Amino acid sequence: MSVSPTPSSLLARLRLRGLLAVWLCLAVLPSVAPAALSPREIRTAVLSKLGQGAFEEAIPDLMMLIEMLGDSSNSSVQAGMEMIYYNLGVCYFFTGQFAPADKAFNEYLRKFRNKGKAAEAAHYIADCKRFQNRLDDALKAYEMILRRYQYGFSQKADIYSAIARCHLARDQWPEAIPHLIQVYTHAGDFLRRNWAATLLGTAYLKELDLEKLYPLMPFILRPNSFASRSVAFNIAALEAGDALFGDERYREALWIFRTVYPYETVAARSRTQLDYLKRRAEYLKRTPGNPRGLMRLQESLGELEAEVEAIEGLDSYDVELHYRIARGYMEFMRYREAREMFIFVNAIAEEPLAQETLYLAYQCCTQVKPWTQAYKVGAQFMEKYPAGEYFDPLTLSMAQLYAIEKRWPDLIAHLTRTLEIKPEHTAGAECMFLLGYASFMEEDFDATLTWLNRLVEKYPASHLRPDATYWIAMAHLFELEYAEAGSVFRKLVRDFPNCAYREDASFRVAVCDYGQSLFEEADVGLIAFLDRYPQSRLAGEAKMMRADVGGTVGRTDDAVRFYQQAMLHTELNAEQYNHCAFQAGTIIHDDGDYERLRQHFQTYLDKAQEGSNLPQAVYWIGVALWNQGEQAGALRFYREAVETYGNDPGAIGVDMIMDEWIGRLRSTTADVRTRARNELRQAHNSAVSGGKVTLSLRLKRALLLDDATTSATKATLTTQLLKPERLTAASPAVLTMVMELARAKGDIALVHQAARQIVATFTETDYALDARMVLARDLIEQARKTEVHSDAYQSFNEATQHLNAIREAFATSGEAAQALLLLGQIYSEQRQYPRADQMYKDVLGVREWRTVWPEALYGRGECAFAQRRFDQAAAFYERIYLMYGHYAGWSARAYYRRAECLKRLFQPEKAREVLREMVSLSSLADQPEMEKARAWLRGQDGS
Amino acid sequence: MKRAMHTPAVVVTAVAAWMVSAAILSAQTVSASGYTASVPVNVRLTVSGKMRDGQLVGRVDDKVVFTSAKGGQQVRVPVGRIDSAFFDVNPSRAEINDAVTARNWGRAGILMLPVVRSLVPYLDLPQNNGVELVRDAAGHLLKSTGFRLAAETHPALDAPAVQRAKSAFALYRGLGKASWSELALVGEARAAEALLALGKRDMADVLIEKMAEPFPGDAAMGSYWMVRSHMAYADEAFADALDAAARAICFANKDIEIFPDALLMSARCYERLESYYRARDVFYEVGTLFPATAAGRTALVHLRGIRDAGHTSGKEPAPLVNVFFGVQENMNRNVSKLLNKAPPPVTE
Repeated sequence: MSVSPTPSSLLARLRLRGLLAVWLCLAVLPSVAPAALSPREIRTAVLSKLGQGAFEEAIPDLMMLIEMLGDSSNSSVQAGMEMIYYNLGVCYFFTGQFAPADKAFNEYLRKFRNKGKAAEAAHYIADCKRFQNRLDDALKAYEMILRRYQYGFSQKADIYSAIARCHLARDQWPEAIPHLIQVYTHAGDFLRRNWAATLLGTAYLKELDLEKLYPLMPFILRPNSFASRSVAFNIAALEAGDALFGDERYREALWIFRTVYPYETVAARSRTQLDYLKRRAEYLKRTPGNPRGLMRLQESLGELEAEVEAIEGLDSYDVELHYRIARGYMEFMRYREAREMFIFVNAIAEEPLAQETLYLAYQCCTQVKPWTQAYKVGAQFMEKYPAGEYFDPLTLSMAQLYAIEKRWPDLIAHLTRTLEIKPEHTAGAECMFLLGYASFMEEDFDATLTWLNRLVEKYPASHLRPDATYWIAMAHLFELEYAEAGSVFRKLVRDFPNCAYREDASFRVAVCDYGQSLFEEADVGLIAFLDRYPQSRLAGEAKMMRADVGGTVGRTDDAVRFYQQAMLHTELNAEQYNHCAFQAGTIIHDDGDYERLRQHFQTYLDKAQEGSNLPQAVYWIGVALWNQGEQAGALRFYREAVETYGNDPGAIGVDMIMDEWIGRLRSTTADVRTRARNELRQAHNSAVSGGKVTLSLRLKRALLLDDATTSATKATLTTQLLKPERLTAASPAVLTMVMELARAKGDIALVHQAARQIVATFTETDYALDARMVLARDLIEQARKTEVHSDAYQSFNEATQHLNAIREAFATSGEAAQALLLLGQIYSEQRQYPRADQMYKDVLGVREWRTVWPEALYGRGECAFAQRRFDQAAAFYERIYLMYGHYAGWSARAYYRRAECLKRLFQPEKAREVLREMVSLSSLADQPEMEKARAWLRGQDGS
Repeated sequence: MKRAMHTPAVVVTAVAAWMVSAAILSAQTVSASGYTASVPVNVRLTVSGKMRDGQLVGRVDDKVVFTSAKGGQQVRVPVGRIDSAFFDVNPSRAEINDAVTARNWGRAGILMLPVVRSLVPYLDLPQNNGVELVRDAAGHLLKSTGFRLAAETHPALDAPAVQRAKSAFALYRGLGKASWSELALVGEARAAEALLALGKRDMADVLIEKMAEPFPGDAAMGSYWMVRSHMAYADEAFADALDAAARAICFANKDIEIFPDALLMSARCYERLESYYRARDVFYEVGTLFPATAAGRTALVHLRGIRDAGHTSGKEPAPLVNVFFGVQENMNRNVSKLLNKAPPPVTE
C-alpha cells in the first residue's frame, strides 16, 4: 500500500505554521493611540490593554514606561518595573516578534535574575528561539531551563513538547521519543497526553518497535483521539503494516492495519476538530487571561489545518485497508470477523474486488456452523453476480453444503435455479449428479432418472459417469423395475470395472434377479459375489438373500443355514438381523424341529444384540416348549420372561407375551392352568412386595384378563390399577387398560391422563396412535359442547395437534385417514374451508383408503357449499352417489345435499328430479334423508 | 402557557415504562400537560440562519421556550426551525480532567451531572454541542459502577452504584432523543447496557429489540453488538454471542471502551464453544495489545488455563481456504513467551 507524503516530511512542514494564526488574531485586536500621559496613567492603560489581550497596543506604552523609569535607582520603582519588562516580552511574543521578545525577556532576566517570572521568561526565550527556527539554540535553552528552574507538571509537559517538536522538525524521531514520553508522563490533561501518545506511537511505528507501541493503544484508540485525525500517524501505521507484511509477520501486520483510521474518518474528524478548535479559540480570545493556553490551542490549530490540507491531497486507502484486514482475519481463521469485513468491503469496493469479497465472505461463512449465513450470502451473490467469475464454484459449494446437511428439497431448488441462470455451468455434471442424488433421497425417482440420464448424455467423459450409472440403476431398483435396474448394474460392472461401485453393483445384480423371481440366477450371482468379495460388507446381506432364495425354492435346510450364517455378520442392521432370526425360526417351526427352534432363539436371546426383539424370541421359545409337551414349562418360561423384562415400562414385547400367556392358559390342562395361575399370583405378590411397580401393574392386568379371576378380585385389581400416581410406572398396554376401565367408570380425566402418558412416553408406538385418537375425539366433543369460545379453541387446537401427529407419524395407517377426516371437520367448524378441503383431498389421494372416500367427498362438498360454490359442491355430491352408491348413508345424504345445491343455483326442477331419483331407490329406504326428500317433493320443504 | 408555568399544581411525572429514570428526571424538570420547565440553559441558537443568544427555560412539546439575552418576552421556537444550538455550559473541566486521570469515574460523572442534566430536555436540537458531554458523563457514571459487558461475573451493585447506573440510564435515554446525531443510537444501546447493570434484563431486551440495527460506521456499532453479545452469552447462545462480538470487533476497533472487551468476549465464546485454538489466539491478542487493561489481565488468566490444560498442544489443521498468506507461526511458543513476562500492573 503506497501513500504519500511520508509522515516525516509532513510533520516537518507543519512545525511552525500553527502560531501564525495566534499572532494574526492578536494583531487585529483593537488598537488605541498612545498619548502623553503620566507613568501612573500609562501603567493603568497597559494593565487594561493586557487584560483585553491587546498586546500590540501595549508595546509602545510598555516601552515608554521603560524609557521613563527603566534607569531609576529607586528600588521600589525598579521592583514595580519587573512586570513591565516581563510584559514587554510577552507582548512581543504574542505578536510574533520573536527577536524583540527574546531580547526583552533576556533584559528581564538580566535585571531580575531571581525574581518570580524568571522561569517563565526563560521558557519564553527558548520558545522564541524555536519559533525563529533556531532549533539547536532552542534545544540548548530548553535543556538549560529544565536544569535551572523548577516548573510545574503542566509547564514541564509544554517544555518537553517543545523539545520533541524541535526534534520532529528535523525528522529526528528517535531523539523525540524520550521527550514525548515525558509529555505523556507529565501532562495532566487528556489532549496533551493523547497528542504525545500518538506521536510516540508514530515514532514506534517508524521503528517497528511494537512492544512499546501496544501500551499506548488505550490512548490511540479513542473517539476523537489525535490519532484519528493525524495523517502522520495513519501513514506511519500503513507503512509499518506493509513492512510487517513484507517480513511475513502477518499477525502483527493485521493488528497494525487495524489501528489505521480510515481515510474518511481522518478527513471528517480533522474538519470537525478544526471547527471545534476555531470555536474554542474564539472563546479564549473573548476571555483573555490564559495566553499560554491560547498559544497551545493555536499551535494545534495550525497543525490541524496542515493535516486537513494533507489528507485532501491523499487518495483514499480505505478499500485496500479493509480488504487487508479482512484477509488477515480469514487467514487467522477468524471467519466471523473476516465475513463481516468482506461484506463491508463488498459494499464500498468497485468491481472486480466487490465480487471477489462477497465470494470470500461466502467462503468464510462456510467455515462457521450453522450455515445459515452461508446460504444467505450465497443467495446474495447469485442475485448480484449471476454472470460473476465465482458464480460456478459458489453455487456448487452451496449445493454441497445442502447435501452435507441432507437438505434435499433445498438442494434441488438451489441447483434448479442455478442451472436456469447458467445452463452452461462449468460444474454442470456435478450439479446434475447432485440433483439426481437429492431427487433419489426425496424418492422422486423420475427426477433422479431425468437428471442422471441427462448427465450421462451431456457429459459422457465426466468422472461422475459411473456414479450416475449406479444411481440410475438404484432408482430403477427402488421403483421395483428389476429388469431395467439389473441391466444398468450389469452395464456398470462391465463398463467401469475399476469403479468404487463395482462390488455393490455385483450384489445388486443378484438382487434384481431375485426381484424378477429368477431365483437360481440370483443364487448363482450371489455365490459368485461371495467368492469374489468374501470380506464384503454386503456378505451378510448376500447370505441372507441366499437364505431367502433357499426358502423360496424349498431348500429349507440351506435357508436356515444361510440365515444363521448371515446373523454372524455384524454389518447386518437390526431389521435384517431380526428378519434372519425370525424367518429361520419360522422355517424350523414349520419343520417341527422344536428343540432346534428353542436352541435357535435361546442363542438369539443370549446374544441380545441391539435392536433384538427379545420378547418375540421368548414367545417362540414358549411355542417350542409348548410343542415339546412342556406346557407348564412354557407358561413358566413366559412368566419368568415377564419377571425378567417386565419391570421396564418400555419393554413393550412383554405385554405381547402376557397376552400370549393368557391365551395359552385357556387351552391347557386344568392342572397346568391351576399351577400357572398360582405362579402368576405368586409372581404378582412377589412383584408387589419387591416394589416392582411396573411388573405388578402388568401382572394385575394379566389377572384381570384371566377368566378365573373372581369379580371381587377384579374390582380390587381395578381400584389398584386406577391410581393416577401409578401411571408413570405403567406399560402402554396397562395404560390402555386404564383408559378402558376409567371410561367405564366415567372418570374421563383419568382416561385423558393415561392417554397423555402414553403419548408422552411411548410416542412412536401404535399405543400412542390409539391414545391420540381417543384424546382427539374427546377433545372435539368437548369443544363442541362448551359455550366458552376460548375453551373450544383450546380443545380444537389440542385435538388438531394429535390428529396431525397421527397423520404424519402413521401416514399409511387407516387411523391417518380418520385423522384427516377429523381434521377436515375441525377446520370446517372453524370456517377454515380451504384447509379443511385440503384434508379431505389428502384422503382421496391414497388408494388404500377407498372405504372412506365417500366421506371425504362429502366433506369436500360441504366445504364448497359453505363457501357458496354450489356448482362445485353439487359435483362432489353427485360423484358420491354415482360412484359409491353402495354406501347407502352417504348416498342418501349426497342426493339430498345436491338437491339443495341445485335449488341455490336456481334449478328447482332439476333438484326435484334428483330427489325423485333418490326416493325411487329401495337401497336408501331406511335412510333418514328419504323422509325429508319426500316432504320436499310434496312441497313441504318450506320453499 | 404562562399560567401553566406558574401554577403550583405542577405534577411531577415520569415515563411509566421507565421508572428507573424517574429520580434523575424529576430532579431537574417539572412538567404539566404539554409543558416541561427546566433549569435555564444559556445558549446560542441559530434559527433560520440567524444567531440568537439567550436562555432556554423549558419546552412545550416540539417547541423550546427561549428568552432572548436582549430582554423581551419568552418565545416558543419550533425545534424544526432551529439550525444549531451551542450550549454555553462550563463544567469544571480541570476537576473532571483530574478525576478522569485518576480513573475516578464516579467523581467525573458526578461533577458533570449538574451541567449535563439541564441539557437533557434539549438534546434533540440539531447540531448541539451537548450530546458529547451527556455521552461522556453517562459513560463515566456507568463505568463507575464496575459493570462490564465482557466481565465473567456481574455482582449486584451497591446502593450508590445503583443510583449512578440509574443516572447513566436517564442520560442515555435523553441522548437517544438526539435523532439528528449518530450518538442517539449509542444512547439507546447504552441505556440497555445500564439496564443490564441494574439487573433489568427484560427491560433491556425490550429496548434493544426496538432499536434499529446500526450499520458499519455508525458510532453505536460497538455498544449495540456488545449488548447483544452479552445477552446471547448470558443465554448460553455462544455462537450468537460470538457473531455479535465479531461485529463489534470489526466496526468498533478504534474505541478503547469497546474493542478490548469485544475481543475478550469473542475469546470467551470460542472457549465455551471449545474452539480452543481460536480462543488462544484471541486471548493472546488481548493480552499483547492491551496488557494494562482489565481485559488484558483476564485474557492472560484464560490463556494460561488453555495452555495448562493442553487444549492447543497439538497442531491445528488448516482448512483449504487458508492458503493466501501461508501463515507459519508457532503460537504456542508466542503464548508461553507472553505468559512468562511479568504480569503488567492493572490500570483499569
